[in-house]
Amino acid sequence: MRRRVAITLTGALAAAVLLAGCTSAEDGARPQAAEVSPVVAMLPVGELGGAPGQLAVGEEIEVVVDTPDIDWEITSSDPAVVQLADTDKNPGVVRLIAVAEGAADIVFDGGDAEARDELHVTVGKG
Amino acid sequence: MRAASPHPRGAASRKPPARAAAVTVLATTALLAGALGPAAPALAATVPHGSAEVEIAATDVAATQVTVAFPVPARQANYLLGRAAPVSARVTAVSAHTGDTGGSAHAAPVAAPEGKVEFFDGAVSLGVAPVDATGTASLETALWPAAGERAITATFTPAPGAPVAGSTSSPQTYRVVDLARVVPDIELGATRAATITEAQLDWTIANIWFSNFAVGFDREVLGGNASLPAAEVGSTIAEKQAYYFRPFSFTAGTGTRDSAGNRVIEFSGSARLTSGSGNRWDFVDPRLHVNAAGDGYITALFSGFYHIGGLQEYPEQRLTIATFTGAEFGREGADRLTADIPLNWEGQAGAMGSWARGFDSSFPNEFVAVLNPGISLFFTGSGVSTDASKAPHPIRVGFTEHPLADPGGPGGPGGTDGPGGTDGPGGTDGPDNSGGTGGTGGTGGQTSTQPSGEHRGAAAGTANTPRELARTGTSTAGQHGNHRAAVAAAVVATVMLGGGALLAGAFAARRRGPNPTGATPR
Repeated sequence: MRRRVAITLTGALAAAVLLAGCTSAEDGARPQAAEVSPVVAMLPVGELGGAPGQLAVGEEIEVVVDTPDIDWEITSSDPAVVQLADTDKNPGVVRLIAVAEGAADIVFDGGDAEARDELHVTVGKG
Repeated sequence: MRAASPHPRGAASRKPPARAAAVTVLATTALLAGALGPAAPALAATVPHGSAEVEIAATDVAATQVTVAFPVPARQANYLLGRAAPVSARVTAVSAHTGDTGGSAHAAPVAAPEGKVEFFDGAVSLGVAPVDATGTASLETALWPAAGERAITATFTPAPGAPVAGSTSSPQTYRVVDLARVVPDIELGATRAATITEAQLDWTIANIWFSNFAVGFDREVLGGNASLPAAEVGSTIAEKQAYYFRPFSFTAGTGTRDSAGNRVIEFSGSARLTSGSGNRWDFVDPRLHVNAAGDGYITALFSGFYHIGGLQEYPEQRLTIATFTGAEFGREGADRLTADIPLNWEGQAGAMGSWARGFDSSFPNEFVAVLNPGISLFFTGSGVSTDASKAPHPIRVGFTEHPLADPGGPGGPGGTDGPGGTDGPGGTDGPDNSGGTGGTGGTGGQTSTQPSGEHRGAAAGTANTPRELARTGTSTAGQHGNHRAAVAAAVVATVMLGGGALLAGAFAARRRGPNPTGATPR
């Protein structure tokens, strides 16, 4: 079996050469794992304080917002570290996406001192 | 063994420029592979391209890195004890060497290694899966050794001859939920001892307080024998909580008590809770089960939806919504029993971390498990400021019980207040106050077959459950004013005094043992 594989590999040299030329460092065409969800937590906005504060680059937290009487202003103190997505729907699911190493404070501000939820996120290397 | 590919997987068809270096290296390594024979079949597959770091000596064995994937999200709890669920890991080969060109130590991922991955929960193997062409190993496993927060690891073992090293992952947290109810099933036995009417259940169902927003779950009655107190939401916190915490009253319930003291009471009525506009939960026709020890639960036909970023409908199914342990019924008049019963919360998740790290408080798991994970924490402890308000409020239960004269017939009405012969509830239905319908003493043989609580009642010539006795401090016969029953009890108790006392002692000792339900005593 091993010999057959080795022979196959040797015999496939030309094809290997051609196919090797088909990829590039520029397009990052390294072998990729099957798609794996990066969502590490899903929780409602009132539970933000219980979300994991440590993320790796590429991971994200989904925050369910369903408060008909509250319009949220949602901010990331450093969008280069934690990016926000889908912040405009209520009800909706806001995504907190770790995009680079660092730290960021995520604040959901409902315009009222009581209607506020926040999370400090530290992002490590993915 | 998977046939090794001589080129990186996922290669695109277009040809970028400047590939000379990669071509050279691949040609070299492929030739080396042939020259080295079976020992190096996969070498070409591990060689990166497009950068100087591809100049790897033919004898290199690449290090690998294996990473367990996060639990696969689903629209309800996905990892249940005893049920298959997916687990996967990604394996990457890493060329760790001092680069021939750069001179500095570095590590770079290379092609997917060949081999297999074994997953572990602690020392327990969850199964083995081959690494596929993408570097992923996946399987479904039901071998979770326990519920709660689990630390899952994966160990990569390279295929024979593959020029990569084995590796073990860091642990990844999976939360496994045990759907078992903390109070075991309570069903009526064949021998019915009493019918129950005019039952009432006052129940908030759920009563979170979103302190950040000063609201709770909205609630409404849908129909049937259910009602809510009329109220306005008010403006102060206290007024708002009084509004949002109103209990539903389910009335006109009916049921049965069996000779062992188990009661099942059914209500006809529908209640709805909502949270925002995207969550609706309907609870229809609640059913209360309680045994002679006062342990029990409430089920209801549950349905509703989660409608946030897509509609998820919860199909109607009867689920346990609440459980309790050690309910103590008192009497209001001759046949009316009532109890204020705290509902279980702490420990009900069954294992620490089943829903949230460091917590084991929750509604019954079989209910929480069907909810969308985006909001299921409304019904579990999770360490946020709303936690204290999530615990379900106590219920109030009341009902009128009508003892049957002929409890021997399964399901038969049995008349009322008859003598009952030797099978009278005083002897065999010791736990129940309402059992004073006839020959209270029972027979020795019957007594010996009854659960421990009933033995104690029989030997003492009473028919109270321990819980009821603690509350009332009176005997069944006395409570019911059933003189004949009292006399019979006294006679039989006297005759059986020696043996009965021994039996009572023995079974009383049994009752002092551990709570078999494992539920948190309340």
